[in-house]
Amino acid sequence: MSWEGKTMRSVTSFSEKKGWFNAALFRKNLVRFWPIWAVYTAVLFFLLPASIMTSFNWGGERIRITAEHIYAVVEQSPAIGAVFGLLAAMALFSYLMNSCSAQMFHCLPIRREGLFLTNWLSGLCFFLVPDAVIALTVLAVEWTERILDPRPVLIWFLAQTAVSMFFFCLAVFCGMFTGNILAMPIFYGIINFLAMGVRLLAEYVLNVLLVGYAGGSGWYERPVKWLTPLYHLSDLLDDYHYTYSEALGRWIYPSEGPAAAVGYCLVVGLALSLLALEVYRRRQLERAGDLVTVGWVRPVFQYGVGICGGICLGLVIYENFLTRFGPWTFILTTAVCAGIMGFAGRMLLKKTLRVFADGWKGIAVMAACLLLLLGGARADFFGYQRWVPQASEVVKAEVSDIYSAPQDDGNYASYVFTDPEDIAAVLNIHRAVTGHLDEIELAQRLDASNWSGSEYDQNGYEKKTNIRMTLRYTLADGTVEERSYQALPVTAEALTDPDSYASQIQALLNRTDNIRAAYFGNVYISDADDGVQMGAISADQVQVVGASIYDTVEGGDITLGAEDARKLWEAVQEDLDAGRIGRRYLLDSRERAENCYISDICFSLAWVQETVKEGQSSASSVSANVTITPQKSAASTRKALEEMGVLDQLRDRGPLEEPEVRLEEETVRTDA
Amino acid sequence: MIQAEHVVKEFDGFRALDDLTMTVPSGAIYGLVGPNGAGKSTILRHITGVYRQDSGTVLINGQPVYENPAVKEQVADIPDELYSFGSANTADMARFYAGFYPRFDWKRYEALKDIFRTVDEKRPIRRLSKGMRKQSAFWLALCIRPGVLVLDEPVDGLDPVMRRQVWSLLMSDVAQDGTTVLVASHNLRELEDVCDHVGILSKGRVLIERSLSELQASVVKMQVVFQEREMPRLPEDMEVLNVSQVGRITTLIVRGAAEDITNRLAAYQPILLEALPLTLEEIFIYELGGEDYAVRDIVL
Repeated sequence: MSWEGKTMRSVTSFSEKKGWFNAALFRKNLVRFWPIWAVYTAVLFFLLPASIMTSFNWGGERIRITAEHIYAVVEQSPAIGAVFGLLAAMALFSYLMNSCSAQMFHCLPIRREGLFLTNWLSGLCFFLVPDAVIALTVLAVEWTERILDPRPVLIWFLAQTAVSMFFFCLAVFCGMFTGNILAMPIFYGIINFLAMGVRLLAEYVLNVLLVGYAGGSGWYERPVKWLTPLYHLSDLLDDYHYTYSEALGRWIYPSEGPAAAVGYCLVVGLALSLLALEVYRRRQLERAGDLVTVGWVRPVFQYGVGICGGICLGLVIYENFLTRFGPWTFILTTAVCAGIMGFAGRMLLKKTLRVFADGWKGIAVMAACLLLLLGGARADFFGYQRWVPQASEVVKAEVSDIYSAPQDDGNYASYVFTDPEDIAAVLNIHRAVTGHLDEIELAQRLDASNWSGSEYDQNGYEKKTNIRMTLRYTLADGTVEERSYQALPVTAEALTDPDSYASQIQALLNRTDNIRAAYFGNVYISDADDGVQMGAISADQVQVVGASIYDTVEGGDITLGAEDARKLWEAVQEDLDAGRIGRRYLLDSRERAENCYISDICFSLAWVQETVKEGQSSASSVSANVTITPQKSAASTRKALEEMGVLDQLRDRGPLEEPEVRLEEETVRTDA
Repeated sequence: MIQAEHVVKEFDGFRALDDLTMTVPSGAIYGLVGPNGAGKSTILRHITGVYRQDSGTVLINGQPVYENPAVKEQVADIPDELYSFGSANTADMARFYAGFYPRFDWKRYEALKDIFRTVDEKRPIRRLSKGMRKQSAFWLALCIRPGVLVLDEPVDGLDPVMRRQVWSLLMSDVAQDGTTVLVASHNLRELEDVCDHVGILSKGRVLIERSLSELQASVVKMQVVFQEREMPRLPEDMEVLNVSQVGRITTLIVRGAAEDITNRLAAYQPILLEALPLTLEEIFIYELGGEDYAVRDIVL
C-alpha cells in the first residue's frame, strides 16, 4: 500500500483526536523541567510541614499558632506564585523563543491549540500536584500531632494553587508577545505594574503641570488595583483582613479575602489564557528571537517606550536640573526625550542602530502629540485649575494641611465644614487662590527647589512664607473633589488685605469654633483595646488627670497637682470660649512673638468611651494629651497661673532666645 | 504530491516568496536549488506547516498542511539546523517522536542501529559531532516512515561513505514505499546523482521546474571551431545563454535540443562541432545568469 493510502486512513483514525493534546509532550515536560516543580515543592515543604513539625509545643495554643502560621504562608503565596509561575511559563514555552526549536515543535503533527493546551496542563500539574501533596502532608502532620484543623490548610491549598496558576497564565500571556526569552520576565514585570506605573507617572506629570492637582482618589483607583495583579492579590491575602470573632473568642482569618483572590485568579487567569491562545494561533513563528512577535503590538511597544520612557526621562532631567525654568521647559524636554526613547524602542524592535531614516516621521508625530497633550494640560483646557464649585453643589468642605504658629497641638489641624456659611468662606478662599495661580506655581517651583520661601525683616520677623493647603469638597452627587496647594505664598502685606486668601485663611483659622476644633478635633487617643488612633474629644466630658508647664527652650517641666490642673483647664476653656487663647498665625511675625509664650501647657486627659462593636456596646478607658501654647491675651489662664505661683515660669518669646531660628535665618539670607 | 501555488510570504516588507508555484510529484526525489536567499528554506517551512503563507496554497496530497496533524503525520523534516532537547539522546527522541507519529517503526529503529552504528544512542545528541547529529536525525526521520521527507542541506557534515549510505536508504524508501523526497541543497553534483526532478528558485520564484532529463535535454553545450577565427553571426532565434572562447575553441551554451542545435551550427561548416551534456551545476549557473546572478563570468 502506498503511503498516500495510509494517510487517508490515518486522517480519521488517529490524528484528529491527537491534534489537541499529546501525552508524550506532557510526560516530556514533567521530566525535562522537574527542577521547577521540585524546588517549588521543597520551598513549600520547608514553609509548611517542616516548619509545623519542628515548631515548639505550646499546648492548647498550638492549633491557633499553627493556623496563624499557615495564614502567614497564604500571605506569601503571591510572591511564591509570581516567581514560580514565571519560571514554569519560561520553561514550557521556551521553544517559541528560538527558531530551531520553534520549527521542530511546529513540524510535529499537533495543532497549536494542542501544544498550548498540553503545555498549559503541564504547568497546572507543576503547581496542583505539589500543592495537593503539601496540603495532605500538613494534614497528616497535624493529625499525628493532634492539632488537626483542615480549614486553614484548605484555604492555603486553594489560594496557593490559584495564585501560582494565575501568574503562570500571566507569564504565558506575556510570552506570546515576545520571541526573546530574556524579554519575557521583563514584559511580565512591566505588565504586573503597568497600570500602577502609568497612574503614578500621570499623577506626577499633572502635579508638575497643574497648580493644585491633588490626584490619588479618582474613579480609576479600583481598576488600577485590579490591573496590578501582584499588588491586588497581596492586598486580598494580607493579614490586614484579620478580624476578631466574638464567637470563637480569637482573631480569625476570614475566607472573603482568599475567596476573592481565588475568584480573581480563576476569572482573569482563564481570560488571559484564552487571549494567549488566540495570540499563539496568530503568532508568526519567523519572529522567534524578536523582541515583539505580534504585528500590531510592535508600534504599541515602540511608542509606549517612547512616551513612558520620555516622560520618565523628562521628569528626571526637569526635577534635577530645569525646575527653575518652569513647566513649559518640562514639556519640551519630555517631547525631546520621548523622541529619543521612541528611537531606542525602534532599535530594540529592529535589532539595529540604523533606525533614523525610516522611523523619524512616526516618532515626530508621537512627540508632537505628546507636546500637544502636555501643552493642553498645562494650558488647563479642561479648567481644572480654575474650577471652584458652586456653593449649592457642596455638602461638605474640608480644609487641611495648613501649618500655623505657635507650635502646639493646633498648628497642623484639619477642619470640616458643613454649615453653608462656613462652606461659603472656604469657597471664597478657593476663589482668591485661583486668582493667583501664576504666583502660586512659581512659589511651588521654588519650594520644590528646597527653598523655604521665607523672608525676614530687619528685626528677624518673618514677612513672607509659603504654606500648604488642601481643600476637599464632597458634592451633592456624592463625588469628592480635591485640590492641594503645595506652596501658597503668604506675606505680611497680604495679611492686612481682608480680600486676600492669606487673610481669609488666617481669619478662618481664628474663628473660636475652629480654634477649638484645631486643638480637640483630631488628637491621638490611646485606647486600651484598639491602640492609638486619631479622634476628636469633647472638652466638657473629659477628666483632667494632670498638667505640666514645659520650657521649650531649656527643657524641663513643672508638674501641677490634680486640683491645679483642673483649675488651669477651666481657665483655658474660658479663654478659648472668649477667643483669648489659641490664636493662629500664618507668619512668625512680631505680633506672634509678642503674644505667644514659648512655654507650653500640656494637659493629660482621660475619659470613658462608649463603643459599639458587632452590635454590642462596650465601654473602655481612653486617654489623650493636649498641648497648648499660652498667649498673653489669655487673661483667665494667666490669672490661674499667677494664683498657682507659676506665671513667671512662662518664657517670653524673643529673637535672642531662639538661636536655632536665627541660625536658619542667616543661612537663608546667605543663600538668597 | 506536494503542491505550492502562488505562495507569497513577506517578512517586514521583504518578499521572501513571490507568487511561488511548484509541484513535487509523488514518489519523486525533487531537488530544490537556488542561490542564497532565494527562499528555499522558507518554502520548505511552508511545506512542513511551520510558516503560514500570506496568500496562496500549500497542499500535500490535496490537503492543506498548515495546522493539519493528519497531513503532518506523514511528513518528516530534517532542517539545516537541528534541534533536540537539552540532555536528550537518540533513544529519548525516538520515544518522543513515537508519541507523535503513529507509524513510528521500532523494528526499523533497531535495524538502523547497524547502519548508524557510529552514533551512540545513549549519548546526548548535543554532545555528538555535527555529522553524528545528522545521522541521528536521519535515523529518527526514517523510523517515522514518512510519506514526504523534507530535507534542507541533508548531507552537510556527513562523510562520503555515510552520504552514500543515506542516499541509498532514501532511494530504497522511494522505490519501496513511494516516499516523496524534497531536498534543498547547494551540492548540485550530488543532487544530480539522486534527483529525478529539479526546481530552480530565484528571488522567491521557481524559474524552472522539470525532470532532470528534460532539463538536461533543454540546454546543450556546443564546442565549435569555426573556419574563421572570429565567430560568425548566429541566427537571431538561437537562444545562446553563454559564449566563451579558449584559443580557437568556442564554447556555446544554447537552449534547445542537442540534435537541432548541431544541425543548425553545421550550416557554418565548422572544423570541429561537438555537443556535450550540461551538468546540473552548469544549468543552474547559466539559467541564473539571466537573472542577473553574479556568477555569470565564472569560467567552468
